[in-house]
Amino acid sequence: MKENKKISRKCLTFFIIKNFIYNYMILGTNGSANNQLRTPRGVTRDDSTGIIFVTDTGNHRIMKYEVGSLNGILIAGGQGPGTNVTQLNSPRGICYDSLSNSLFITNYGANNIIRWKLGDTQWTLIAGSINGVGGSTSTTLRLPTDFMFDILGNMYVVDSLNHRIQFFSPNQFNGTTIASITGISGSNNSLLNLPFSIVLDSQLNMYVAEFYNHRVQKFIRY
Amino acid sequence: MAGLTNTTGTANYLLNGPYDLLIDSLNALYISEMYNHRIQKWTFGASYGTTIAGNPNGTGGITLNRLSNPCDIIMDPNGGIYVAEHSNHRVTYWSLGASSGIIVAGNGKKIYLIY
Repeated sequence: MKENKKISRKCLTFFIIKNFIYNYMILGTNGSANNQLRTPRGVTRDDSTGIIFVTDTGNHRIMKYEVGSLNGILIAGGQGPGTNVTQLNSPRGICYDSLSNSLFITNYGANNIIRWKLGDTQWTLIAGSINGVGGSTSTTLRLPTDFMFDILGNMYVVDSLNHRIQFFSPNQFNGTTIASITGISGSNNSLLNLPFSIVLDSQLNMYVAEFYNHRVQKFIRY
Repeated sequence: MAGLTNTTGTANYLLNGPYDLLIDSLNALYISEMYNHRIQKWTFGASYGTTIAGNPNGTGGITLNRLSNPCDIIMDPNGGIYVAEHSNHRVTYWSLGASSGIIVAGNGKKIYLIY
């Protein structure tokens, strides 16, 4: 018995040290200072200047980095997770739009897609619920992860927990499902299982990455 | 198109936790694999990918030739890619053909401990 206790104490010590090493040596350090990030998931770039914008998901904020600088500048959020217009909630996919000098952001935890003009202190709604309520109707989303615009200004949204891709004509809040069936996950070719990302080629064929099916499917332009 | 439905692995024709997609002008598809800690390039029509960032065998890490839970990827006009690394709390930039990245955001510094 004594021997066992000794062994388990040794195991515990080993476990603590192992975790400590893993957290502080194997993984990077995280925090909320201007030169730190916490679980960043998204990045976009202004190709005319080389400036990058990072979705600092765990800090619920967007940081801007001038070329050559590791000191981030707060651009959006940073007010804790929330659903009001000055806050972000686990932001993910992001895209800089030079025409409007703004960022389009998938506000994952708030179940919407928003636009944040640079210099503004709040966002405007592009798709999903303004109150942050998730849903599976044509005007709502459930944990959106990514989006893409085509050359005509149509928007394609990855509505991850609804296992579907939603299509929005310019300035429309009513979406149409163009891939999979709302709320049904599956592994056959017509269904998706937790889609995370989308990309369009120049012929507008659509590629969708499915996090749970571990595959990428191509959808020929319909 | 890429990967085998519901099958994970580190082989070059498999994916594990595909997170983000990127397509270049030649229709090559770039896939970040969150759980294989690598970025794979699938040229148009290819049946397997080649690793352009991270370790082909799927092992992650904090050194600059490794990634840890990569998420979004973007490409600049020179063909370099930026990778948001979830668990390294940093963003790295990999020039075209580079075997390691440089930190462009986040404090990915290693903390040395003395026992």
